[in-house]
Amino acid sequence: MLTVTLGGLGTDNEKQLEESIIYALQNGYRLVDTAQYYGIEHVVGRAVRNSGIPRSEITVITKFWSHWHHDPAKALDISLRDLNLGYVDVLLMHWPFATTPDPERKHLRKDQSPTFVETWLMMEKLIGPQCRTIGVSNFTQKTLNELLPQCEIVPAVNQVELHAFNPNPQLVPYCVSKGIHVMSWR
Amino acid sequence: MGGEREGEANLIHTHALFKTIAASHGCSTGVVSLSWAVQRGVTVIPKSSSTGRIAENIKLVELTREEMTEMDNAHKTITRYRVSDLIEELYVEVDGKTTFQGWTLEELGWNDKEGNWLN
Repeated sequence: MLTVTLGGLGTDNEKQLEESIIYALQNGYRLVDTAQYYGIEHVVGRAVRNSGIPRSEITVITKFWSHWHHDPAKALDISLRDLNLGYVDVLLMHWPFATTPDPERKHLRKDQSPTFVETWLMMEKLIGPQCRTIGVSNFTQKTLNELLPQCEIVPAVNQVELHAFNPNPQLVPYCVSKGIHVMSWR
Repeated sequence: MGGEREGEANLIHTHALFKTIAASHGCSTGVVSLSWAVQRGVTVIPKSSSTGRIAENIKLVELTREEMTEMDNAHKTITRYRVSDLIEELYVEVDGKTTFQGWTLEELGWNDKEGNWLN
């Protein structure tokens, strides 16, 4: 289990990051969590390829940001290209809120299209050889209660902020009861 | 969960509650924090650039029921915060109001109308 974050890395740091990921993989970590927002998918992909660990043993999670809510298929293509690992194991909607596409990226209100339900329904169609499963990030009981009645496929994962000072005491059992795996970012 | 953000006094690593638990298991406070989450059924994604901590963080310890309860209650007995609240770039003005990327905290499901935490 390993998360890989930090945006805007220089070339020196990219090398260091790649070495850290390879070290982690060679020491037993098997989950790599990244996101388009972090700007490092190409480094993550290179590290996984250079680690010597078979791709099939590693779970790669990535996420797309709000300006792709109108077209998650295109977001998946970008991650597939940048990671260059053949497929992603889990594709997450990074946050429930959307913006308009590039270059405007105007923040949309909750009821404006594309809503997270509309985006999720588009994500459901992406599941296949290049996108093994789909999930969400930063969803709450409220937003999950809004999503679940509308969807065919229950999110496999909800990745949320979780630590001793924000333990999500109600969200964790709620997700378990719905068959949604909780992952913690911090 | 073990990482630190600039300007944040990370009590998860420095508070006596966590240091005491760590000492009794002979591990770091980072491992205590990760072990607590895993024992709750949560997958953790530690981040570190130090090979020492990367190697350490994959070795979890088993916390006692009392230790789990103490950790579960830390948000009441010590402090609580959302890291998300500290990420200023996520707060933007829309239609003259400060929003979290266009949404209210109520719409996100983080708070009720009175501002109480819901999560």
